[in-house]
Amino acid sequence: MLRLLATVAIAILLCGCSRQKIVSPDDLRSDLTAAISLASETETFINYVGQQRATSNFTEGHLAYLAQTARQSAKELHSSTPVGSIAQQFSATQKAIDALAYQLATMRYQLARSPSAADSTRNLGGIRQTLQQIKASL
Amino acid sequence: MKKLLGITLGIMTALGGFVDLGQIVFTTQAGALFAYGLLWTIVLGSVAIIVYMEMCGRVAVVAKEPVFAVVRSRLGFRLGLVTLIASNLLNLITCAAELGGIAIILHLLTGWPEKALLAGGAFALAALLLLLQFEWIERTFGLSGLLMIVFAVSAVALHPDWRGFAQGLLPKASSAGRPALYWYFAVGIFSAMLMEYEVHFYSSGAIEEDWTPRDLGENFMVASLGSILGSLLTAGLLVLGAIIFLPRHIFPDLLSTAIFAGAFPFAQKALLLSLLGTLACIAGAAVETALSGAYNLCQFFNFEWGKSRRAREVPIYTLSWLVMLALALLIAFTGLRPLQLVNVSIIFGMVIMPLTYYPILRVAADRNVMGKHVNSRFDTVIGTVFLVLITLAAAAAIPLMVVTHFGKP
Repeated sequence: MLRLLATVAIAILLCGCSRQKIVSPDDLRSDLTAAISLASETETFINYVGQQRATSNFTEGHLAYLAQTARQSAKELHSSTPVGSIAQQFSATQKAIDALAYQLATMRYQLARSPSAADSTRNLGGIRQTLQQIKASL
Repeated sequence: MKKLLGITLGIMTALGGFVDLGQIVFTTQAGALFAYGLLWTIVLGSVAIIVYMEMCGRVAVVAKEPVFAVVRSRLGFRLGLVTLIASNLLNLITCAAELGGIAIILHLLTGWPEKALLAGGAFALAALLLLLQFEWIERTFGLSGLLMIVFAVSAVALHPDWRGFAQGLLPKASSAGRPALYWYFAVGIFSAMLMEYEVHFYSSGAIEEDWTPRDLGENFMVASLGSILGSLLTAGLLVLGAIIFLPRHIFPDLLSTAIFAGAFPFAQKALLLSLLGTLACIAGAAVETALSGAYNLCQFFNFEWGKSRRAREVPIYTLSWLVMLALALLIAFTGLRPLQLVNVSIIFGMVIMPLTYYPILRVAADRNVMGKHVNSRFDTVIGTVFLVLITLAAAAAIPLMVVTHFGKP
């Protein structure tokens, strides 16, 4: 009996792990809200760093956490499939979040050593606007 | 001077309870979503915790019964045991989350690897607990936690809308468009302010410090001042969320984001104060949860306990908090995000809360036990009102968590 229960539990677990998450319009809206928040927070933080108000350890550490969050979002999105009606917006969101994750990964080390590099916000602003447009189109 | 230092028990209890990892991020998120709209929950939570902290202190002093002895005598062995297991599981999860938070802050301060800092932080806490007597533990964490005042100063420096602030103090039934999310955060803030380990730690502390009925006036002062300070800092976090994050459409989901908000209007020194204050409060919460776990166990099974006694005189107590810290460290090492852990503990903490507060109210209102220090009619009425609110919030906590996907906007 125990063996049967264990087998069923493992089977359920494996099914749960292997199945792709289906993204509904509400899910995508929530993902977009989180990504817009992340881009906006990074812009705000870079401005703060640009005014020499953060320590280098804090800058590098906080950007690493932001980059990790973006990487995680991108990964989750790549392992999901959208419902048919939002395929186009889903694909655009994937691209924008990939760009955000890449931007965060590259600026992390650069900014900790050269806090005046506030130019990076320009790219982030573009990504944020793209994300906002996709959200508005949902 | 001794009386002044005695207040540190209330300050440490309240800061470790109110301004721990979960509350810091949770309240900042509430401000970022609903501006000042949830300030009333902080007021409600503060009054509730003052009422119950005072009752716990009074029961501990007069009946010489700390919370878990009361729980066992009033709920019976079986239900008491369930409460003990649930409370200590929550203490463990919360302690693991706080250890994770300590590692994050140390990493932000030093840039050293987080895993090494996690282990180092836990060992440093264990060493401090072994070396320090109870009163020095409360002084160390209570007074260093005062650095968190930088959050309140930052909030005021950013010129809050005082009219909106005053309006936020009045309860509102809902917020336009997102009622479930609004109530999820309302229940979460209320719950985080009433976390069980606060009253476990406070009542045990009163006995550790040999309070007598003559100290009952001080008991009310200690409970009130500590809680008022904690609630002002919590309100400061909410204001920072409303001013910094709401207009920029930011939903703060990281501890480092909340810390950065605490220094937003100022320069590097304020950021350091913000980091150190948060570190002190989170470390205080880790100590409170680890010690509470040991207090609960020993009080329930009637083992010898006390941080003011030598470790070898109270071996089970000492081993219990060491095991709590070790298990929490293991959980933190699994890589679970501290904020995920603490979100779980806040909501599940609410579910078992009535089982902690109901026995306290019963004993405090029992003239046979309390004699002339029994609850006044006012105390019992207000305690009952809060118990009803706690029970309603407990019933709503899990459904709200499911509906909002852990408060996802």
